Amino acid sequence: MSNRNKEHSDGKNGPAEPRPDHHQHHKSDATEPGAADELKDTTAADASQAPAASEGLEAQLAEKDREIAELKDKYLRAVADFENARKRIRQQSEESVRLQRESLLRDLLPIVDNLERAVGAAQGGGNGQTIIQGVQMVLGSLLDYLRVQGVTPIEAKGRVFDPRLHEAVDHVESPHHEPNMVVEEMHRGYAAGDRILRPARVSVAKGALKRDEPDADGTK
Amino acid sequence: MAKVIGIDLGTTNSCVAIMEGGDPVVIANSEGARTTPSVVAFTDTGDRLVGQIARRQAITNPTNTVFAIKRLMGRRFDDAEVQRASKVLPYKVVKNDDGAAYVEIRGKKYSPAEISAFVLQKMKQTAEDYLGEKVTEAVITVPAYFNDSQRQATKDAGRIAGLSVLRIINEPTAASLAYGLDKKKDEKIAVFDLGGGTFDVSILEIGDGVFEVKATNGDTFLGGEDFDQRVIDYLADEFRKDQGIDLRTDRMALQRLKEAAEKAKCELSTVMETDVNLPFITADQSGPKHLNMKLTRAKLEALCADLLDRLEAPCVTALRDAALKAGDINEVVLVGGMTRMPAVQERVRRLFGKEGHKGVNPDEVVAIGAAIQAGVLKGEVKDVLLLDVTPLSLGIETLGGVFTKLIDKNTTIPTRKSQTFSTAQDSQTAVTIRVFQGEREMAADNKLLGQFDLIGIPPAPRGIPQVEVTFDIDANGIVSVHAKDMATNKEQSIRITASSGLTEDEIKRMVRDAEAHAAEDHKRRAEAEARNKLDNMIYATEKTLNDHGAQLDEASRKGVEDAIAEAKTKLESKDADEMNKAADALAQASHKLAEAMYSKTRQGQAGTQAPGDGGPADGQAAGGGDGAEKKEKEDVVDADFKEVKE
Repeated sequence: MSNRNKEHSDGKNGPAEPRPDHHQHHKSDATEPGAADELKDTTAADASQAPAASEGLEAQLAEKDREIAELKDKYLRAVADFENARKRIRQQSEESVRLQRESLLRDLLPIVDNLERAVGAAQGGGNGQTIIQGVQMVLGSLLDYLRVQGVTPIEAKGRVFDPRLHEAVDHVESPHHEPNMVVEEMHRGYAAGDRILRPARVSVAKGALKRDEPDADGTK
Repeated sequence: MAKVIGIDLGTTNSCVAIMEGGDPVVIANSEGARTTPSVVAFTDTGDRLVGQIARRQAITNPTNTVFAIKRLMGRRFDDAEVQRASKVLPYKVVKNDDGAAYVEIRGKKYSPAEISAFVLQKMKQTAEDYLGEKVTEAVITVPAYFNDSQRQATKDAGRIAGLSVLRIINEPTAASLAYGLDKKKDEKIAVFDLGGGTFDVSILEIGDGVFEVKATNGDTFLGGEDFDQRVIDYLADEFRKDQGIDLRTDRMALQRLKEAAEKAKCELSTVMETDVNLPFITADQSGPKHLNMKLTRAKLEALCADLLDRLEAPCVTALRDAALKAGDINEVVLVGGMTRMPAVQERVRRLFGKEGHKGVNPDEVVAIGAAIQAGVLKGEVKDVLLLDVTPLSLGIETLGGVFTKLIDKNTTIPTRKSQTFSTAQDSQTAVTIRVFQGEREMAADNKLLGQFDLIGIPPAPRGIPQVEVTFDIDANGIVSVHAKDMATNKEQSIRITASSGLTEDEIKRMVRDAEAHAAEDHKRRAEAEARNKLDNMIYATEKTLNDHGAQLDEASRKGVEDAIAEAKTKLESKDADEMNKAADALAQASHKLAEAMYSKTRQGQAGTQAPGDGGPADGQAAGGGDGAEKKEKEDVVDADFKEVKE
């Protein structure tokens, strides 16, 4: 009986004493230094009022239980609010991505139109030069579109091979190139802002690693 | 707070993930990719490259670009696996003084752990860039068949990279964790891992949160790249038959062919047929040549038939080693990109008699499982907070029989939402709150959970009273609905327990129904809203006319009266457009009235008489109300719902 009292005297989480019976309350390791003493004093002083004291304690206990239930509810609600906010943000983000995608796709449609016109004209047996001109114009409009979107071509030909910008698919002998220079560009690389959209696909001149073989024209 | 990351250190690619707010999140690297090639290169300028960049220069620097180092981790130089690998690896594999397999790059020896550490460093950096804080602890995965020496080497790699490895877990275990299978009791799990270069099958047993590896088997030289090669060869052979040129001899063409083959293979996982379209793939004296071929799923499966067959033996052996029959397997987990292929899934079905779990991205599932384990070790993933969501929307019935949602479906609970409504009729002194659950636009199509009345509202013109309706769902899913009259503070409420709700199937059906009826529901709602709007307009205009019509000349007055009469006839039409047009016409007439009023005297009253297109700024009695529910009984009329935007 006195153990129980000791546990709940000051209303704070009591000392973690081994209990004789099951208790449904907080398993806390926090020990209030003054608590036990305080209680001893209380019980000593109010020995004659023990029934009243225990009623007071039970009232306090009930109060603390209420407080805990309230705090727990607040906490759960806070976590739920956070999750709901995250869901909203995710939805908004997906919506935003969708809109941007549609905008880009829509801009591509006129280019499709023009290519279809080019095919139509060519099939109609038109003048080769004019068709070429037309296709070049379509290409020009597409490149222009990319430029407006912030996409820029990557320099490759004649540059030193740089794996940050280029992807090597061939390693070739080349008398006309310094070792480790880009010889040929298989496809152009593009950057979007400061990120690489696609590296340039290149062939690289051999000889960079082993300097013991002179190139055909005698340069090392 | 220091986070623990989960890393899948793969043979070809690595992936890093972390727990965020209770969910595992895969982190993209600085190049924007969610996986990083496990490649390390040493350039002649003394630079060390890791990841995609290292791969890009591999062909110019083959002897100093290290890939697939996992094949050598923790192994001795004399191991059969090392000997087999070193025959095909372009970089130098050497024997260290202690007999371990090392690599030699530019005259310097590196242990496989050191090489892997460079990859782990990049994964660590990726996580740090994302989190904005240092990362010092990790969980790293290894194949289930890794022995002590191999596991230790992996731990060493972590240490060298500056990571304290809290735990090394098996890849199949991580994949199982990602699917929450640790909650199962006494079940047998088969994990089928077909990645880029290797095939692993593992049989696990789960009980009390502990996974036990019963058997492992596989083929360390069977993977997605082999499937790609079949397609490449087919396309090249067909082209040669047709055009007499072997594209494989042309580097440029071969590269395009490789990409097209991989793309076609992936597409055929979702469609039955695809086009391989490579214009200007090559040229000869007669001009440019194009490759344009159709590839069907059936053809792809035929081309890869022998590869698919090779998947069987390891599974059969693993089952035997585990002393189990296929029928004993309770769960199958799919790992690795190739498991997206329908033919592979079909083989799995045949071998284990059930469908594989595939909801999680198979390229990322191992890293996700590692992150979950990391979260558990850090105490982040406790059972304490598994919050529920409300499966269907909750709301009340408003004017016109419309269902006005207060809480959307899939909202995490506990939650509370309030909205202010008003009355539909002048001098209405009570409102009936009818609580519904469902997704249909009209309240009658949803499930009525309960209703109650709030009485004692002071008589006032419609739209003036403010009744705040609050929906509250507690952590146990119990719904309480309160209605409070803001003038008198009178309150009434109802409490609805979760058991009045619906089963999982019923919920699914209701959501499906709502989708099926979306178009017609929308129409009915639009009608109800148009009717409400028109009704409000009529009310407002009539009131203004009554109060101030005397100021108008006879003709104008008649004009407004006619407009009102005309609008009234449209109230019963079921056509939303007609009603909206009538509302607009009435608004025009009303404008004239207002003009006349303003030109005569100044009016300070900004009340409910505002034209329907805006309403006064206080928003409280906005003319264009969303409608109020009408009940047949005159004395108890239901709340009119005007949305009071906070």
